[in-house]
Amino acid sequence: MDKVNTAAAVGGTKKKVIRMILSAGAFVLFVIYMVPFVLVLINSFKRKVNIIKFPLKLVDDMGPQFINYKNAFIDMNFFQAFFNSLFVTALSITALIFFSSMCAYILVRRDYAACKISYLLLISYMVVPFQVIMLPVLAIYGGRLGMLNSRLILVVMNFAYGTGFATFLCHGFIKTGIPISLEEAAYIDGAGPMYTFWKIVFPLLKPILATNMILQTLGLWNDYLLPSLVLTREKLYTLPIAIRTFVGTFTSDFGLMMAALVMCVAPIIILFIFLQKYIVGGIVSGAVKA
Amino acid sequence: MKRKVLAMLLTAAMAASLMACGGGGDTSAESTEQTAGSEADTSSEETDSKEADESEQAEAPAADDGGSDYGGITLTFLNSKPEITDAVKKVTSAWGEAHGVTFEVTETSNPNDTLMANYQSGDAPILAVVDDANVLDFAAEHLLPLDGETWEGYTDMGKYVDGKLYGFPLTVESHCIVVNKAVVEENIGREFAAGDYKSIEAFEALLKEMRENGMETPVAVLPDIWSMVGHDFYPFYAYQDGTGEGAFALVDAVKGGKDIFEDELFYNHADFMSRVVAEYNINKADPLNADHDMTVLALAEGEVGFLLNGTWTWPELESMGASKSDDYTIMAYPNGSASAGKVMAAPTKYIVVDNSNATEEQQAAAKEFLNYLVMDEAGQKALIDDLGIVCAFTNNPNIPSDPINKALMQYISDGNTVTYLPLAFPSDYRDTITPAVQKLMTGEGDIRALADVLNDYWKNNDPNGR
Amino acid sequence: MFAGPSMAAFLLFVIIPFFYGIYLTMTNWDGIATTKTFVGIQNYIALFHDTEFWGSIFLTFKYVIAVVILTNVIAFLLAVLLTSGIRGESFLRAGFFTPNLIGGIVLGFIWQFIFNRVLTTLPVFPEKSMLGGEISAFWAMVIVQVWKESGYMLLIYIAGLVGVSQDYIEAAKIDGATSSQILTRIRLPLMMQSFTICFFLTLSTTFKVYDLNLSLTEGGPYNSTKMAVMTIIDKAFTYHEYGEGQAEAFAFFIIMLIVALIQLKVTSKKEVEA
Repeated sequence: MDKVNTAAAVGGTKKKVIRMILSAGAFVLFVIYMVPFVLVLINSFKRKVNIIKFPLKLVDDMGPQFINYKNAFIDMNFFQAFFNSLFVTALSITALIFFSSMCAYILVRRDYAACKISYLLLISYMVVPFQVIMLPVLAIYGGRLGMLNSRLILVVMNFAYGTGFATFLCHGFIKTGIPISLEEAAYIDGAGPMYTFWKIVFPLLKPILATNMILQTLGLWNDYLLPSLVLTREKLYTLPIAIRTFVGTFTSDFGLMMAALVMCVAPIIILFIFLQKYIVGGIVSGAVKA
Repeated sequence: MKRKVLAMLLTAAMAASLMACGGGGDTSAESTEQTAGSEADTSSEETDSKEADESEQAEAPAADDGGSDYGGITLTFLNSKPEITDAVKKVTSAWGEAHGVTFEVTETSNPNDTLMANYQSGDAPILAVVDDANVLDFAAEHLLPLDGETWEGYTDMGKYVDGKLYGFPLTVESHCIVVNKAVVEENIGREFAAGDYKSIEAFEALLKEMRENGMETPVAVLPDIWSMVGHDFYPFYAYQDGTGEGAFALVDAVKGGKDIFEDELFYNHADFMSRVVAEYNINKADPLNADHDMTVLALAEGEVGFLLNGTWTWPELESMGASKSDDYTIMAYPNGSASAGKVMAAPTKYIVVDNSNATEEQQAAAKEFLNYLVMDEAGQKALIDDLGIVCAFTNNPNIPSDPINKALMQYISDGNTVTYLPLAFPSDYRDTITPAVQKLMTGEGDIRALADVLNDYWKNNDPNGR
Repeated sequence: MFAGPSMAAFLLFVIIPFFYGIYLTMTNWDGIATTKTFVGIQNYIALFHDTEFWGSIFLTFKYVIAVVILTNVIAFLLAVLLTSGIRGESFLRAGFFTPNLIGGIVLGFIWQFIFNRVLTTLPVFPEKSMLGGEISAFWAMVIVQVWKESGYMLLIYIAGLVGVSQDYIEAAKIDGATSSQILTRIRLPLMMQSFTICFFLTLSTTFKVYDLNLSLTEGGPYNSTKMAVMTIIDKAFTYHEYGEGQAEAFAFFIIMLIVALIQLKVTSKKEVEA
């Protein structure tokens, strides 16, 4: 980097201009991408009449309506719903991260036909709309076995429906990103597959696991259909189900709904900011050198 | 050696995670208790806050019916009329307290899909507020016949399927034109009487007059498919002879080869909608993509005088600033039939009781609750005041407090209603005719095209509810 | 043992219900009754004659093609931009990701509002809402889907771009490669994996579009934007022809699977092993 020659220096000013144009472009796009979210945010502080009549106005005629947040908080029983969402999401994600990476590892490294078929099945599910197996699932696990209305069964289902995607992401990453030479070295040193996986491979998976975690958390945290079918008791409601109480056929309470939405997504934004550095940290490159 | 240690560690880890799961199970049990506790707290608070009159009401039924106590059973209650969910919670918990019943009220905007899913999971609600078509679809397999209940004697609007009573009529509603009377009168400078505008010509003249007086577009038409297609294009069935029979007769005639285009009522109504209403519609520029709320707000704020909708719109108007003392009324879709001027009115939501998962005790409690709504003074009051509806029972002395439902009550007691049931459409009817209706309203299609779709539809389908 | 938990859960909650579902395609079940009659392949014969179904499949294909291309082009360009060291990178990344935070019904509500009430008042746009025309409503759906998916794919592309070992890049720099050469000769071939993933993901989620379809256009105007899943769900649930709806779902699955597998084959051929 220090060895900058003159040609590069000339290119430097040109680069600077290009970079500035690009930055400006990125910023414009950024604003466009943010518009819907900003709309939710500003309208969450307004009364319904103001939302309908002046949706673009920044502040309600009668000042910011912080009361929306208070009422939404109480009406949706926020703590209970938040706890349920957290419980379900955290356990599902934990299972997905550990079991799916194990699954992906073995499917990449073993060249059996069974592995190929399993992998094919797992990724085939990604093209199945959930509605296709919805009634059969309910008929078997609800009608026959009476296992619904339990957060744990929802966790297991989330795991089952998410593992295809999680495995798919890890599979590709291991195949192209993790040099087999590291493991071979470990095997030569007498390590077993468990040791090799947890001590050598798993740490290298951090970037993809962080990506996985973000994407899966997002899906699970916002998921409505499956939880609403499995958890039909009010005390088991997750946040998206609780938000539905503000949506009526004729009388949606928009102010409360948007306030609820903001409260619902805030944890995800925090998680995203936290995990971001792992995703783009480029940890693999260091490992390859070693 | 290393391998063994690791295997042991892993087993330990797995055991730990299993225990963690078990722990999770405990927490859920704990929180269940907590919530149950807090639910009880809130409801008792509610009762407290409503003070004397509420507690009197809660005790009254206990005195009347011998105070059956169900010893803490739970009744699940699915509500498909979201605007009354809070009121339903209030009414059920008041009754439940006095009878040892805990209600769990959930809501859905699509009772058909929810019930299908719930029945598959063996987790169907004991009581459910559903639509007409749902009663037909689920009765034979899953619902409890309610013949012989005390309330049956006080209504002729119950929903019968194959001769058995399955649906408790919860609400009577009207597809009609909602009128902001004060605004109309201010514009025309004289009193507005709905009876003066029974015919299409008279109503058209009124709209023209209002336009000349400065209100460019005095009518609001909702863009929603359920309203525009489902409701606004219903009157030509209902007004055939003012009964269900007439509606069936029209369908039979079309089945037998009659071109519906030749039907005077159909043609005139379609012409009224596409020529008159479309012209004076505040959403004229883009009738299909107007904003629902802005459209209702236009009536509440007096930008228009008329809204094609129904009596259920009151809570919505109220949330937009209308008050119960305001001068609103309703009028019929104008037409040239013998029943012109009468409004369409019929029960639109029914309560049904489950017969697949419910225990006998739950069914008994559910039945008693329904009787309470009809026979008990407190129940009668709850039905009208809390749920804010027009009720289908002749013995209920209470009068709705909002002007729209009050107006409907007046039409009913004057005998000025036509029923728009029992004719019920098969579930794909609306989807099938939607494109033709939408094109008619935007001017891209014509009455001939809609007639063709209807002719074709009724040749291949049978109406429900006969 | 390694794959055990995943495969067990998958077997229990996907494979078994799936086969039960296939059994249901050979019955006349309405989705409500407790009894059903076996009707053989009658539902499959009916589905071949169902023009509405095939029409919706065709429409879905058009939709998928538009969304997959636009999403990936935009996401990739943004990813390059957001890894080129411009100011406020991490802040911008979070911003592009926000569309994914708003789900389901609320998303449709907000966009309906934007199309019907905001865009119609802006001078450059026509006065009539995009959702009102058959062609424009289709593109409105494409816009929303691309807006949502591209933020998601952006993440994967970013991970791919920064995942390329610095060794190769340093080496190329020493050899005097320009930054665009580094991108096209080094980074692109080494991150083909990301393309495989992103194409597959956009393909599968776009094929399955339902929530957006329901909340944004409700299939309208004139049923012109009714995609495959919505058609199937209407058939199975609203019309109470569950057996036939399930058969259509099964046919749809097979079609999607073939497309997805072809795509995976084609793109993974271009992958380079590290």
